[in-house]
Amino acid sequence: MNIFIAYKEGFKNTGKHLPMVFLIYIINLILALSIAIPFFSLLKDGFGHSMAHEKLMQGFNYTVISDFIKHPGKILTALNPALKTAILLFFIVSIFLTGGILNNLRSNRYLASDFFTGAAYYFYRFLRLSIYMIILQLIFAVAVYLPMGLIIGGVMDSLTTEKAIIFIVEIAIIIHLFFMGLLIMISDYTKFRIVLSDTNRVLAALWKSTRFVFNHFLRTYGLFLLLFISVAAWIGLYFGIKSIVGFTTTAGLIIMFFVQQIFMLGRSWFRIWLFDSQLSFFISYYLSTQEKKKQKIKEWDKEATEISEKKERKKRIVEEEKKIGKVNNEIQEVSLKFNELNQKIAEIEKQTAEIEEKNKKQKQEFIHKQSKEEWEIIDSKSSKNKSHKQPENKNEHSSPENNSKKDENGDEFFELDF
Amino acid sequence: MKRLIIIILIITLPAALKAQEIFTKPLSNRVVWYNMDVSLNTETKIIDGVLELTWRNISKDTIEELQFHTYLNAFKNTKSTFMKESGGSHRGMKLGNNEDDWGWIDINKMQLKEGADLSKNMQYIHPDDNNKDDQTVLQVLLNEPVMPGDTIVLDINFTSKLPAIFARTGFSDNYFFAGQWFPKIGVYEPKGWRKAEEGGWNCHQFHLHSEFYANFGVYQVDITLPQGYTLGATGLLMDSKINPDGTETLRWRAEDVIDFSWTASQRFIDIKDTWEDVDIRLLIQPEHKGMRERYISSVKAALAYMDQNVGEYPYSNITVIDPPVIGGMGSGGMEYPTLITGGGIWGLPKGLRQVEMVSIHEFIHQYFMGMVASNEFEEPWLDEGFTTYYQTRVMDHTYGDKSSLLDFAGLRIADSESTRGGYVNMVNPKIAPNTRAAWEFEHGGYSSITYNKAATWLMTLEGIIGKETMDKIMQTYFERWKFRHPTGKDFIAVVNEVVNKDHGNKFGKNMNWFFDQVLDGTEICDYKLAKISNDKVTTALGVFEKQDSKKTISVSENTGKYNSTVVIHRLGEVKLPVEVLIHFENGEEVLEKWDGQDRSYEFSYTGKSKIAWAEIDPEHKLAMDINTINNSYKIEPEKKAFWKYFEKFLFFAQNVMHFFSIFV
Repeated sequence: MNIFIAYKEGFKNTGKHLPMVFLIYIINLILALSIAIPFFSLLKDGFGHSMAHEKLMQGFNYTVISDFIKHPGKILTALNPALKTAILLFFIVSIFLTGGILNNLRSNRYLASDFFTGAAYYFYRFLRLSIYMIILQLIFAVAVYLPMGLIIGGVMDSLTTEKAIIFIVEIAIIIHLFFMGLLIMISDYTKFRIVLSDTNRVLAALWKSTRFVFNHFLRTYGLFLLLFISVAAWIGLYFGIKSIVGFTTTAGLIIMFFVQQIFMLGRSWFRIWLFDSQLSFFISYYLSTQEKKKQKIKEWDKEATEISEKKERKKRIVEEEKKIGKVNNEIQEVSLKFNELNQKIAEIEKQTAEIEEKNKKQKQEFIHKQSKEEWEIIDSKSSKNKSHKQPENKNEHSSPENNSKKDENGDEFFELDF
Repeated sequence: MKRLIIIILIITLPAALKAQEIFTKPLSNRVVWYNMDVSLNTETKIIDGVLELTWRNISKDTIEELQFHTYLNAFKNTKSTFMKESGGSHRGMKLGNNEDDWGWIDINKMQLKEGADLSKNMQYIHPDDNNKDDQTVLQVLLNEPVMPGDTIVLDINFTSKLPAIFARTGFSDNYFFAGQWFPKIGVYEPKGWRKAEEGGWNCHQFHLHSEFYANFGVYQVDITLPQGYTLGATGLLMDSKINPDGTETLRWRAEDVIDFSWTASQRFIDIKDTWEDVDIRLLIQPEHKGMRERYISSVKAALAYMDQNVGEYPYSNITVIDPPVIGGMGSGGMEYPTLITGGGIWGLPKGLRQVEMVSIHEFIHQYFMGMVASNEFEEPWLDEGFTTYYQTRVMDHTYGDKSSLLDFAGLRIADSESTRGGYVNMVNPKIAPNTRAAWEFEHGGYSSITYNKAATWLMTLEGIIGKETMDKIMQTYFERWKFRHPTGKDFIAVVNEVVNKDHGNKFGKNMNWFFDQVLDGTEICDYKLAKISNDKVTTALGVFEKQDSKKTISVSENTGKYNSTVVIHRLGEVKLPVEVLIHFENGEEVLEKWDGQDRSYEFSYTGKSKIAWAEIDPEHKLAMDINTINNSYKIEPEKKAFWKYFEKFLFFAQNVMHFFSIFV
């Protein structure tokens, strides 16, 4: 996106978010008033009925101010902690407000509920980010001024004029301001990323935003400078009006009060403007990146589906194979058992054969014997008794119940007739 | 025989020196003549010198010893009194530890002209602090005393090693500033002379908070150094020549001066200008060229103002040195006869009038201690206080009485305000009396008391007796004591004389009451307008005799008049005459006067108009009053200024908060 378009869009969109502009202004004003009102009272009490302060209406008066600070104005130092507290409070409140601002700017509409939801939702993430950024600001400040001191110390002996030192200091200040702006900008883009991707990984977002800023350095910094120049122009306008109106008359005081407050309102406007311009710029890149990502994700999804299907098939095959294996095992087991049984059968058959052989023999023997006896009886009784009477012989003829025998181990088994 | 030779020399030497004289009629009593031939080795930073010193005993005492300042020995090691007192730092600058950084002076030989060698009679003495390691005062015992009115001529060979610029003197790269660089004879003060209770040498050691004191004399100095250097020095350039060895020798001569210093640099840009018949020479660093007009115009302003309001500047020239900031600032902001050093920084905005203030201050020193040569050791207020007082006058007169020192970014400060602030804003303005000797400010306060307090009470004195009388005092003091050595008492005597002449007994028999408080005392001045009341005047109640009968009045009536009262308190111990302006509602004003003696005082009025407001010291004559906020009282105070500062503070707080929130 062209930075001028972002700049224009930011300005236009800020107009749609006037409640946020006013909210920032009002909170800033309330906190400032919390110190300015006690200041006014201390001033009034300190001067009491004195007329000395009337000289202050004509401009800065060193004698009045230094005498006041030295004597009754000593109590003004009591305001120092209050001022520091107010600054800290506004700092924290600003972190809170930023979440709300960005939540609304993202949807490009103002909704109070969205504002406060966003403010609360992103607060902790932005607080962490602010702490990181403060640490980075300090590191960069040391990184700029420490080498500056070393350079000055190193070249001091070879320098003949103070111009070089002044140049070095000026360059260091410019570098520091550059880095300060850069870090502020990176911080802003990090917030956008956190909001748009709803990530909780602040450091990762910070890293990605740093890359983003450097990848589009001329545009991001150009946009930042454009807004910075706009703020500078706004400040210049204030001083121009101040030099014309002044604080010397009652009318001047009233006019200047409004001028100052309009100026502060303007500063709140610039805050939203800066956010919106940068956000518009960021979104234009972020969305195109997101589209590409989506397409890629689709491809990845397709591939993943295919892979998972293949995996599923393979899994099924494996399962089938497993089942087949199991069946085979079972078959093998059955075969083994079958073989065992066959062997047993064979043995039994063998035994049966032996028994049969034996029985046959016994039978033959019995038959032979019986035949012999019968024949003997017949021969003997044929004449006497012609009725059939079967002789009792337990070994040769028994009931099934009495078929049980014991094997060589003593276990019972049944002899089967086949 | 020796005595004869000396007498011949005494007669012939000044005659020889006269050949190139500047003033046809001496301006001073010329106690001493320095005829020096010195050469600077720019590599070793060493000055080898041959000095022919002629000293005249103008006292009625017989002098058996001489004493010399050998001040470069203050930078010889850390055991010197200066180094012990300063801890090695001066005006925020530190003396380094490199071999080249130290400075010293050796007297290689001292002998009477064509006479006895006195080298063995030399020893360092320590009149102020008994520091046996200090070598800044050299005593020489004479074989033969110098009789009253007699003159002694000495040949002295000396070697001076300049330190890296520190405490007014030294070198930095190719910039050299030689101050207090040669053996300088002390001042013999006979009994009754200045503060002397008995005859003796006034020759103090070199201290952290002390400058110098010397007799007037004539200096003729031949300075030899490599070519390519631009030189500036006390006095006038009389001659120059290129030597066969390629070096250059420049002859300088200064008459009726108390000191001689010189400077050389390869980088100076030489700028010349004039004010009436005074030649102004500015030796400026190339990078500071843009400030040439600031230097020149400020010196011209000081010349014109002092010439008109104090006395004629008798010398025909003034040389202004702009030292390099890097390495050279230690030599800035210093005064020498007809030569002063300033202090410019590249890029300094015009509204910050540091360059002007320093130049004007140092120029005014040409009067106070340059010509009115008070003892800077013992009574530093006589030169620094007076100079600061006139500095504020010149600055305010030249650059505006509300913004003479600072007129930048909406801030405006007058030099007189800043000077007063330096005293009234002290953490402890009672730390020391103004009469304290410079080296006795052991626990701080030297600058604020010596410069600021003295200037502030001089402003107060001007306020009390009037500017016209003040100018007469200063003119008389200058005229009477120029080329002499006054004390504070001499100044007070002039004040009493002139005030008495102008005002009779208006301020009492004399002004000692003033000096007892502000000069010798340490108390502060603070008057407060405590209260204004306006009570209605009503008719009386009660029983009154009327035509042989008693009449009871039980209802009082308004008379339409008011009993108005203004009550003043004296919170400080200093008592000064006070003016009080009382303003009534009908616009009438009354300027009352109070001697300021009691702890409180009231002014009462009965009239138809109530008092609206009253103000102590409406014309701000009492600059010493340490709190001007309690000097006025208004029944209905204006609130506009409160609103103004409320608005400004509110705006400031809002912006500060916004600034810090950008880091969110």
